[in-house]
Amino acid sequence: MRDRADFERYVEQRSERLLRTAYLLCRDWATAEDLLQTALAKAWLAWRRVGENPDPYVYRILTNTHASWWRRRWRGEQPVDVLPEPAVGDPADLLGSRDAVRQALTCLPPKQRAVIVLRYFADLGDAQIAEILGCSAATVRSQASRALARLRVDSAARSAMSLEG
Amino acid sequence: MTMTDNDLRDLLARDASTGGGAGVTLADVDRRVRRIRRRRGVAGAAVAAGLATVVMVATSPRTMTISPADAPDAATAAGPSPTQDVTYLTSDRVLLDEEITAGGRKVPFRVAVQADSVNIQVECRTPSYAFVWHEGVLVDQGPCGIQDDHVDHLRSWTDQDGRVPSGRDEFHVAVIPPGSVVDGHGAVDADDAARIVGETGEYRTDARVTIREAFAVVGAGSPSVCQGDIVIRRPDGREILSSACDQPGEEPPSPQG
Repeated sequence: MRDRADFERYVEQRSERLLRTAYLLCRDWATAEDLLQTALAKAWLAWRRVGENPDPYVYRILTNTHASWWRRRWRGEQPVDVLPEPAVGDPADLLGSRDAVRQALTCLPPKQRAVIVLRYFADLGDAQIAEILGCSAATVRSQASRALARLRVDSAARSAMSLEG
Repeated sequence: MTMTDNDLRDLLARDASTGGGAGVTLADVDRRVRRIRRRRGVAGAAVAAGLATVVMVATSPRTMTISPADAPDAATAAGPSPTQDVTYLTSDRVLLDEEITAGGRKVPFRVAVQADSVNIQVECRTPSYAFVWHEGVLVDQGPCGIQDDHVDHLRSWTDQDGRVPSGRDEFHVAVIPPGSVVDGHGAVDADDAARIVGETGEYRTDARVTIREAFAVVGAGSPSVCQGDIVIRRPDGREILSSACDQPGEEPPSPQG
């Protein structure tokens, strides 16, 4: 994985899947394209050092860049006196529903969202996710556990499945 | 209803497959690479300017605090400053940003600005060789755009003479196919450049010229050379300042020490 041809092949083969991953991180297609362009550009600039499997490197740039953009946007937000009304009157109706999970996903901190996306969309194991996010596998598990609790994903069903990658 | 892990997988897969953006192409990525490089270049220039300022600040008190009235000998000793070294660094202020759509001919670009100096950059989106003239003088040439070495070459030239005649600068840029100059690397002289461009003939190409303001950093190099040589001596109980730069025929030490 060292020359331009390899890079072009990588972009051709992986960009669609990576774009979807980026979208799940930011939930906006235009931002996802921006995010992926940045990640691939940085990957090209470091292509000789990236190694045989560029995916972890690109995932790392994607998640780091998303986190930094998220923090910037967060700083720019203004607090309001009145909270907006929820879309549905009874919150209990939302629990467990797809819309509620989507809504909850957008509210997750970037690291928890990255763990969910990398584990359940990119199908990566906790050890790989830990390497990408620069933390321990135990941290990945605890972040996933917190995220799943916020998403109201059933813990009993979860424990019945093998989550370890 | 409570979701399971598999439900979550399905939901993510479904969300990611619906809608969809326009996708990311190699051309998009290459454009982003150029942007990152440009930004890094500007950031590097800013850091260099900052360092130069630090050098000046660290150096200037040693030569400026002695007033002639208080210590005439010392003032004389510190007075002859080393040769004024001026470096021009590119700022991020864009003066001109235009496309070149025709290769094989000299395209003029003029800026009118009150500035210390200017920097010109030529980006080529197709593999090319570029010539840059400033006030009629061939000042830069070389590969432009992605070449056989898979490196995206950017032409960049800063007028280190810092002359902006009457606040106006005139550049000419010519883009030609990469094979037009023998071996693509050896520089050619002004006559050959004009001849090669003329022989190439016009063709359609895609390049961009950006001219930015450059600012002077005065004394960034020379004063630091003498910084370590300014010493305080007490002959006959008096303090004087001296510097190796003031000793005739003595070479000042290198900045590295």
